[in-house]
Amino acid sequence: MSPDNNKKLQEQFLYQGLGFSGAITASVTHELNNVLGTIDQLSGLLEDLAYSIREGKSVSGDQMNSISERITKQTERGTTLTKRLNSFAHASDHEYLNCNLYEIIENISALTNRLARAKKAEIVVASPEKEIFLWTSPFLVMHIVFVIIKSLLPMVKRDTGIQIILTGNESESVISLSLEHDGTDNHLDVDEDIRSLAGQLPASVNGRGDDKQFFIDLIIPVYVP
Amino acid sequence: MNSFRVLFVDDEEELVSTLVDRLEYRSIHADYAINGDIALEKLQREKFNIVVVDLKLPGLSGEELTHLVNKSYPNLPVLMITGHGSGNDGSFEKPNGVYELLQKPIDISLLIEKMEEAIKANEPG
Repeated sequence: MSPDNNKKLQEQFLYQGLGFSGAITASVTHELNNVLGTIDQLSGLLEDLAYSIREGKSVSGDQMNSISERITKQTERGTTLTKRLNSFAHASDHEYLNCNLYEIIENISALTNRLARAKKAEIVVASPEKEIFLWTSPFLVMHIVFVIIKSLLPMVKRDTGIQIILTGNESESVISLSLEHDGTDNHLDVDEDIRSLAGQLPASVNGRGDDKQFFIDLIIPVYVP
Repeated sequence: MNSFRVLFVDDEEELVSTLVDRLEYRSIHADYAINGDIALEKLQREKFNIVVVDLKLPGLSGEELTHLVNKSYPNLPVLMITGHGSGNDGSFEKPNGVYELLQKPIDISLLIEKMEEAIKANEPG
């Protein structure tokens, strides 16, 4: 590849990475907005109850406790979201490091589940029997998995989801994504953009499917620094 | 204004159930649905004076639902709520068939004001 084309490709990957970061940030902040809005309404409900008491109406302690618990639940939801976003933000602190594969994939799946819910689907990551560590770029792995998930969501059968299984041995780690498709999309293949992005890691991507299911494997060779 | 019945459609169940509770304190009868399919079922079974729809819904989108409501219930006004964009920067335009677009977080007084306005605007005659 010529230096000019290589430079263009690097710029393209940079913008794609920025786009990916933007998409995750937008999704999480949208959800955080919902959390804050809900807490706002719950505190408004407490004000309504306080007004009722001042007006001489009776309000049960159970009612107040219930609202308090609901506020706590939303606060916990918000805390989890900010922890996940913070973890995502720190994924680019180091270009390559020794990572727990399940932690990376579980985080990006949770961050992407909002997109899946819009399609009435869910992303489920199976915990591997043994922890899998690999020397890789956590940001790039998350980016590739995100792009794969986005490409799969339009074909997911409604009310099902995408299952992710992680396996690893001395030579490679594999992230396998599978789904039941709705049968309307005959283009059951891996997008060239995904292969190109995976090549940056470097990793390879294989896809296979039949009339009911589609599988994509992201294969990351073991790298010893 | 006389009391009216509102149907909220939003997958943030805790948010809409709280809004329902708050409106009941204000003698406004309210119900909710967490997606468009359930909303359409409720509209078939019960009479509502206004529908408040979130832009982002699972399955049938807020815009698609609005279109179906406009088609099947032409005198039923629709308000839309969204967390998209920021404040009044106009980053998102009011979709067709929607009386008003309100930003989250929702101010309940403003919501009631806009609901009453929309119902009045759609009264026959």
